[in-house]
Amino acid sequence: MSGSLLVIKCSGYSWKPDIITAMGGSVLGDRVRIAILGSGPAGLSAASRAAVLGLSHVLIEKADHLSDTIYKYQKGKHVMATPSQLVLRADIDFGASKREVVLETWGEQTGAHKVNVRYNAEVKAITGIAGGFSLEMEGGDVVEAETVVLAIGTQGNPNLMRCAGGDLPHVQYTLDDPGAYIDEHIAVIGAGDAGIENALGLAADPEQRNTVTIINRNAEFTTAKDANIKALMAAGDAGRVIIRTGTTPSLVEPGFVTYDTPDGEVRVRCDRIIARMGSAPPRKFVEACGVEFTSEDRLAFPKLSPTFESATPGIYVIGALAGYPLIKHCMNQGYDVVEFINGNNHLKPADEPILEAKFAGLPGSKSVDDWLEYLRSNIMILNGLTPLQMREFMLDSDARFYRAGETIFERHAPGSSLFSVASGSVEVLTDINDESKIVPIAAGSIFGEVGLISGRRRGATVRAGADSICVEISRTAALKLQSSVPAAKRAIERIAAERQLLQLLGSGLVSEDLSGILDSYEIQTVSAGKPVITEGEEGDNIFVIRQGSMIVEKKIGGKPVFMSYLPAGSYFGEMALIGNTRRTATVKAAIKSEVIKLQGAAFKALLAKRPQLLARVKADMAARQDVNSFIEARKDGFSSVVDMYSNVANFLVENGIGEATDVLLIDENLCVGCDNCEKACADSHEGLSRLDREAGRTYAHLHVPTSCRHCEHPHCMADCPPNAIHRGPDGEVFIDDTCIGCGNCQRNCPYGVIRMEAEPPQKPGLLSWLLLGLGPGPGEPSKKWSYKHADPGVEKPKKAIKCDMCSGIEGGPACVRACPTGAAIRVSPERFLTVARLESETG
Amino acid sequence: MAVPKSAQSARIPSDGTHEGFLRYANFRWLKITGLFSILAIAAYLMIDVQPRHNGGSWLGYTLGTIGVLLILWLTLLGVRKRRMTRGAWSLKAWTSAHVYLGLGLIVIATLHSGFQLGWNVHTLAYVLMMIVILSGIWGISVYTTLPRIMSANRDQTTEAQMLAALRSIDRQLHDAAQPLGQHYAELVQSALDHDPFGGGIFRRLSNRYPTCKTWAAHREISRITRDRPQLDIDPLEKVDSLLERKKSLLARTRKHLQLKAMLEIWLYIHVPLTFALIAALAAHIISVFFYW
Amino acid sequence: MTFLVRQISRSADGREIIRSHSYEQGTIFVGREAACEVHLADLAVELRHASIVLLESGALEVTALGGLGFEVDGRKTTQTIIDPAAGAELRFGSHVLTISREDGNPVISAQRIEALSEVSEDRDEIGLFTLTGLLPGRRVNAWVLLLSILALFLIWPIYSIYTREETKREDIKKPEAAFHPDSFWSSGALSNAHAGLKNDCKACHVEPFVAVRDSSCITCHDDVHGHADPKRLLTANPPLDWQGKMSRQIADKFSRPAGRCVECHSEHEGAGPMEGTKQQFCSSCHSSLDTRLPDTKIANAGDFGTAHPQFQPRVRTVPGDISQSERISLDRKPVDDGGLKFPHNVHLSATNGVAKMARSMSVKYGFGAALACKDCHTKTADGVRFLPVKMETNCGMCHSLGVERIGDTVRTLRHGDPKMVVADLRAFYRAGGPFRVRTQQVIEGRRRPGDYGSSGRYYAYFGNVNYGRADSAIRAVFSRGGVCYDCHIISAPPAGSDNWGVGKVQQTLRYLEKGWFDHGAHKTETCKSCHSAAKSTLASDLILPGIKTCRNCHGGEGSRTDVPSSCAMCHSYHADDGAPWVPREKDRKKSDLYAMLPAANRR
Repeated sequence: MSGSLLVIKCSGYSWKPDIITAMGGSVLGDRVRIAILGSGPAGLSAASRAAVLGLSHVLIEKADHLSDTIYKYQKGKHVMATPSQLVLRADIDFGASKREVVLETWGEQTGAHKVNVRYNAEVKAITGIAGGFSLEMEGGDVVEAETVVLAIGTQGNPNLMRCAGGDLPHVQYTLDDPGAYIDEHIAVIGAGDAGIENALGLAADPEQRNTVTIINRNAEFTTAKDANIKALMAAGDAGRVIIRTGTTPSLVEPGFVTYDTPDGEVRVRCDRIIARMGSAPPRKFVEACGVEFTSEDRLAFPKLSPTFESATPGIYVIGALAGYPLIKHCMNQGYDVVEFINGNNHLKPADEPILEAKFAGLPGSKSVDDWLEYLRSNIMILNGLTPLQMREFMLDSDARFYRAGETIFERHAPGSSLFSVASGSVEVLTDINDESKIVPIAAGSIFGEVGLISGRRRGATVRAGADSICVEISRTAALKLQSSVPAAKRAIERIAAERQLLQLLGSGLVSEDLSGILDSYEIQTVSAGKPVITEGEEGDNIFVIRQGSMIVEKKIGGKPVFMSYLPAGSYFGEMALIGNTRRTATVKAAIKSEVIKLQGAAFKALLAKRPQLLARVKADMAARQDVNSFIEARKDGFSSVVDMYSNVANFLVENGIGEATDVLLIDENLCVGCDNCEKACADSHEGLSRLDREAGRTYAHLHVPTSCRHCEHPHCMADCPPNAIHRGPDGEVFIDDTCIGCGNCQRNCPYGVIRMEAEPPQKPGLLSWLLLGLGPGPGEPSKKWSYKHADPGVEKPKKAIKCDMCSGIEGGPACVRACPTGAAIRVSPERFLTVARLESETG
Repeated sequence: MAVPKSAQSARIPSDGTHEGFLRYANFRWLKITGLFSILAIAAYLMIDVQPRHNGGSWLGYTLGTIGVLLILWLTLLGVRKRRMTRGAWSLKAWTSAHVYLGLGLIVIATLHSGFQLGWNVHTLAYVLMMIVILSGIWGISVYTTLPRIMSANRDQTTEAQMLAALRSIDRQLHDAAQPLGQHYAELVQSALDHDPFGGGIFRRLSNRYPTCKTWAAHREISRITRDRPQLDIDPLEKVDSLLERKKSLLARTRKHLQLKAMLEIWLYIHVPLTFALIAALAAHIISVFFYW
Repeated sequence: MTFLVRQISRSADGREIIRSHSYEQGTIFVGREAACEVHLADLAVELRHASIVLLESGALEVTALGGLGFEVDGRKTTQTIIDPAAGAELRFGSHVLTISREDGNPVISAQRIEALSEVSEDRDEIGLFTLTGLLPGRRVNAWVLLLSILALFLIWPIYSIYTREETKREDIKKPEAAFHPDSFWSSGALSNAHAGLKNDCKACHVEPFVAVRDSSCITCHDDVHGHADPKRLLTANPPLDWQGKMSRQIADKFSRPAGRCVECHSEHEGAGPMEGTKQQFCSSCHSSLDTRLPDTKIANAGDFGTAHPQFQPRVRTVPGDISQSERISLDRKPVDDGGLKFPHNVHLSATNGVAKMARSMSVKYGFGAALACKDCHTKTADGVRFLPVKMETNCGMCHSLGVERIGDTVRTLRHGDPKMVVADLRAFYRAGGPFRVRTQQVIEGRRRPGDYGSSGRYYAYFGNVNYGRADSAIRAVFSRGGVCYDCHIISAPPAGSDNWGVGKVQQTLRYLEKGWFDHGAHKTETCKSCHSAAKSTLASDLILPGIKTCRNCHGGEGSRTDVPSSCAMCHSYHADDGAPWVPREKDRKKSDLYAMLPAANRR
């Protein structure tokens, strides 16, 4: 009861210091020195700075409250303040704490600074030039400003209902609290992840007696995650949600809505419409304002000067839009940009100390700016960067000095970062046995790109040839770089392809040999399950797996039989080429992969030129044929066996082991369900289990529990604001404690192995449990217990947790060590086929 | 899934990581235990103790000491299992050793006793130990046989899902039964109110629930619906089919419960008796030295 | 007037959902039917369960329509009247209808208060899938068992030990009926001898954690001889083997001194006798004793069958003088002169006159066709050996010292008193007896001593002397052919005196001092089978059987012979002149090698 009351109170929360609206009214018409768009952290900080400096300004916010993004966080969410080493430089305070607290402080302080805010105001267009911009607002009136600061973030605006009645009050674009609605007919438009999650949320509790309909424009669900689609389908079958595909709303009236369905128009009851049709990134608007971007790439950022000034003088871009997703960054920039505008050009950016620290280790004392310039000009792929981008780039990267002969990384060491040589040179040891066989890489070039692209371990040891300065570019930085500097992207691709081929084919090839085939190479992206070559078709091209992995199938007795599994870095297609036959087997992607396609003709030429390469290829080919014949031979004898083998293999591939680097499997012939693996996991990781033994798929007693596969290209890394997810020294993908608990990784993981949890309170010692039964015992304590024993007042933030393969724990993964029967095993893709053909362990 | 040897040896040789606790390190502990037992027996036969073998001879004391150390170590498995210390230990190895050394204890303790049993604390300790070991043997047998049955029965559904499914069925039953007359309504109600997993340990182990209300209700209702044409509008038909589904769900869940119970119950003998054993052992040793 | 009906329910996250309707009518219905104004989706409620009528007074009349009633504030009823102002709670199935009044209108709020079904109640799911709750917890059981066992088998015994008074000496042999807790600790029943101590552990285990000391044994066994001078004993002990050494060391570690009684007499080996000593226990020292005790007189002895020395009976070195004797091996054919003249062969012959005479006297003395050993040798009471032969009772049966018959009475010479013999003869002659005597002798045939022997066939012979003088008769009696001289060694008197000397006769009852021989145990044998008396012509012949004879039946312990015999059969560790200790008859188990021992030497 009280709980529900509380909920209601919270939903009535508001961040509107009234005095500000009053002032907001008063500034209409007259020209301000600075107009700030967006009242997020960046905007707020800028506005407060302006207010403190006494500059005339206006802060334009489209919502009816400040910093809408944070406002939309779920109640009580813990907002983190990372990076911790970055000093906050702003007139409003910010420290890690609850959403409510943060917003309240900002509300009060903006109020105290007499910041001039316009709520419910949206800028349609910006015209004019520096000193005389006119901002045209929705609803006609115009704001005059000398400078404009764009702090509108990347969220952009939701796509609106275009159909008639789309502007009616019961049409909404967000859903804060699914529990708030009862006995309603609700239509959710758009079946993206957001839409599906809303629909499921509204339908979750039958007690609310909502009639929920979800509308999808297409016949297929294309944009949503698998898990979500499955859940939706289940709900549909259970009759909790009505699913309409191939349907669009055509008319909205109070209480009713009309749809265009594949079989004609229908008019049904509808008390509320929640439109989740995605949002248009603000880029179009921003470009319209005259801001230029570094590339067409989706991830590209605006071109900015060190003072955040865009291509159009007088228009400044800060915050997420400028490529700084973290609140602290944003606020600092807000402060800085106003200082710049105010003519303070000596101001050093707040991240200066961090960069100084980074360059401290390098020989020769240069200022930060000089170092940035030095690296930018010396490293080919960095040439295209703006000074500001350089700064940001270096924040995610490291510059190091290596003495001649010093090893930079070892063969088989994991690592997904890219290296570039700023000065000196490095040597790649191509032959493990022969130290003398080295390939030099000159200054300006890059190395380590294979790790970056394939996510596999390092292919060769690299050491400094002369005293050198190298920049290690973290994966995220590298990806940003590629998307913002297309030239860099191409360069990296080509070098990567060349090196990969050299490494793959070996047999004394040198890059000159490859020039022929590399002129004609192209990179193909293959989505999971799609064949690259099909058994029996014509074709003599050679393919090299650049990313992801492939499975090879052969039709035996009409049904496809699993032949083998090709991890990234292997090549295929040689049989047809060499044997001048049609394709002898089908090769299809186990997961979304990229292959390098080499023209057969060119490759033939190369083979002709390089006999030992030919021999090598023939040898590989023979080996593969053996396996094929081995399986075919057994086909008649032990057909069931082969089926089993092939089925299990397929099953494993289906379950994401194709992209795994290390996966936990459970042989349910042995598993007695004691859950000691989970307990062990929890007890070796501050009381939270990172695996769910029971959940997950099982085939032929081979169980793939819900636990991290440490993908080659971790989906979870895709979008991590504080860049807190890394690949560790043993290849494990782990989340460091800069996690801000945003939950992106959890949403992005297709295997649902990431949880958002707060660390439970300390448990009494094991002995006191064994002897006296004190505490919850081994393993993850129950929510109830944690709640009861949480020390009052202290708010533990929810953070993302996932398997880290017990990195740093001597002895290795606890789950395996703690399995009493030996049911739990960890396998790498190279070995999981042995598991596929494992003889049942009746022990 | 038996694969011909040739298959295993093809291309990638399967290595030791995947093997049960019984054949760990291809029966290392079995071998060690066997060897030791043979040595012990040989010593027992060859060494002539006057007037006859007993715990008091030097051999007796030696075996006794080994035995008690062994027992204490075996008991420590309970701690090892739960204490997630660092270090390259594997619980599988421990279990393997636990099993085989535990079996070896039979030989050692019996030789220690010199087959002199009587109504005293010494024999009490011996008997307790034997019971513990026997329960352990039973445990091994269920551990080797039941898991695959359980996995098959579970069929990828988790326990939470089983309960959730039952809940939703109940809710549907409840709704479907609304229009029914009082008689049937009460039948369904009884099926809903009845705790399907209650009834104590024996019911749990035997997996027989003769008094299950769901069965009763379904019997009653299907008696009516059996000889009636299938009409989807008929709520009774719906209830009937729902009960049918609940039955199958219950069957699976109960089977699961039974298997889990069987996998667990032996520990309810094994563990407490171990401590009883340790107590008896303490009394045994102290008394021996007390009356020295 | 309107009814306000509120349906209250809870959403999954616990917030309250209220659905209100108002009805402009005087009567509303409660039921499962959707048509009812108060619609309760509750199978325990009838389709149309009850009606609620608004009375003029503003009170509500609730009436059950079907068979099932409802509860008002906990009481079951079918009809009631409620004042909304006062309010009330009606219970239908698992729903509660709370009735109240708001601005003049009756308000009925319905809420489900019981979960919809058993499973849908949120239960501890981990709990459900384990045995928790179905069985008492393992930890609890463990503790209970642990503590109770400690209390029962450790605390209680120890407590009882210090609260129990000692057993009285006389009760020791009779086992106590009462139960005593520290018998939990007994590793096995006590031997019968100590059965009575069953419950009095402290009798032997005097101090906790101190090994049993001899002092405890000696409190009762105060008369036990030591085996030998302890010092010599120590040197005599054979060197320990590795086992012995090890056990020794362990024992020392645990303060169990060497040479305690209990080392041999190990107790708690089960009811029955204490085990007899094994042969190896002796032979370990004695088989090679001389190597360690060069000066020892005791010959090495091991297995009786193979390594036992010849018997060494103690024999006189001077005839008739036991004070001068030594032990001489039978192999040296020793003789032993006890001072008696007695030919066994004559007496045992089946053909001579002795035999005839025996036959003639068989009625009186039950002799057989000839004399047998038993006719003269009588067993000692314990049957172990034989009493000395007595003139009066044994020899006297045939050999009389009669002088003359007066009526029925026969005057005889006094045996064992030479002076009196002399006196009697002189007196006899003074009465001039000899003439009659002589005639007699003439009439009757051969002469033998004791004419007036009890058989009346013989008479005393005084030699063919001139009968006129007593002196000559006296001399004749003590001289060759005289009645004394025949059996005894006579020493002549000094000239001119009458004190003839008659040598003392000594008979040895036990020749073998060190070993124990029991005739009783050999009932199965005849005398002849060991003693070759029939060939012995002199009393000094030592007709003891040698070890060869014994070995016909006896061999060492565990030998194949009829009677495997360990040392303990004839020798005792705590040596005295009694029989060696062996278990009681009734204590004996089958195949006990002491089976043939007679009762006599079972202490």
